[in-house]
Amino acid sequence: MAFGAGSSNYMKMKGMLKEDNVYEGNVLQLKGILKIRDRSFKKNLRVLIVDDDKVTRKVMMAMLRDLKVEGKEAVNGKEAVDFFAAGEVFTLVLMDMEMPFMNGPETTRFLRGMGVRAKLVGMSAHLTEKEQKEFLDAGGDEFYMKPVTRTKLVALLQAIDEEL
Amino acid sequence: MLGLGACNLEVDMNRLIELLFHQQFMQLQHLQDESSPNFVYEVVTLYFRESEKLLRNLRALLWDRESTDYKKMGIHLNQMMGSSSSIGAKRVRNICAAFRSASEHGNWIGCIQSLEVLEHEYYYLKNKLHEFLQIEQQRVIAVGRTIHLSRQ
Repeated sequence: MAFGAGSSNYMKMKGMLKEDNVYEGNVLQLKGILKIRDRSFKKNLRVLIVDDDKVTRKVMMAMLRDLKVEGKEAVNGKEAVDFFAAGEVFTLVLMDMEMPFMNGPETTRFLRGMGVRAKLVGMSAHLTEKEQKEFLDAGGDEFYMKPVTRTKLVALLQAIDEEL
Repeated sequence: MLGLGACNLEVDMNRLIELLFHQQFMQLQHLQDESSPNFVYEVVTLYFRESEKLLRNLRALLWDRESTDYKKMGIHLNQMMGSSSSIGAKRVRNICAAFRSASEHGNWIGCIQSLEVLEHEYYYLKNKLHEFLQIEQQRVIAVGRTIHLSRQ
């Protein structure tokens, strides 16, 4: 397979990579393991993951580490607000909609009220138009259905990188 | 190297993983590397722990029909939908969505039925994931032996 100039790709066969990087295996093993190395981001992006679900936070933080993007996690909207209030700066906030203490729209409204200009992206496993509207009306920028895949995350980060 | 029997089992397991999981699960495998060699195991174990806590909470909420807190139920279901989505467990996620719909309508019978389906699907998934992780572990061990032998 060939990809455009400036990108590189490799096939990672779990434990079956021969020393000369020749792969032997079947199609089923091939599926899902092609990895494209993305271009690095020009700016120092800093991302805040706001979600009361530990699994989502762990996966998202791992994706950010893999992309060599600095990430931090908040367990709910209140903690996210506290980070900003303490002077922390983020370029992107990925926020769950339903959380205890302060949900996504409430957190968004509060952050915008504080003058936060970071890109605020909502995430939900259960999208309704009403939720989406509420979030966007509160000052949110975009809304994604969970799971936020690596592809979506890269596209989002690249768009922010180019805007800055 | 793995024997033919083990290879066939692995192929079957891959097919089952495709059936049960969104491609997100493949992405978890991508995130496993030398710096996080047990990442998939850690995420899956965390998912099990959190899901079983939520299932216990859901069952407790449905104990008394007269005082069922449907709002709290929605919160728990949302969390389980989120974590299931994050590891790519699409069937569990979809059952949670149906369950949530029953809870939003205050449909106690519907919730009880949904909980049973959810528990069944979750434990089926858990068993399959355990098998998958065991096969993965065996493959890593086998490869370690293969590389060692080829270098001798």
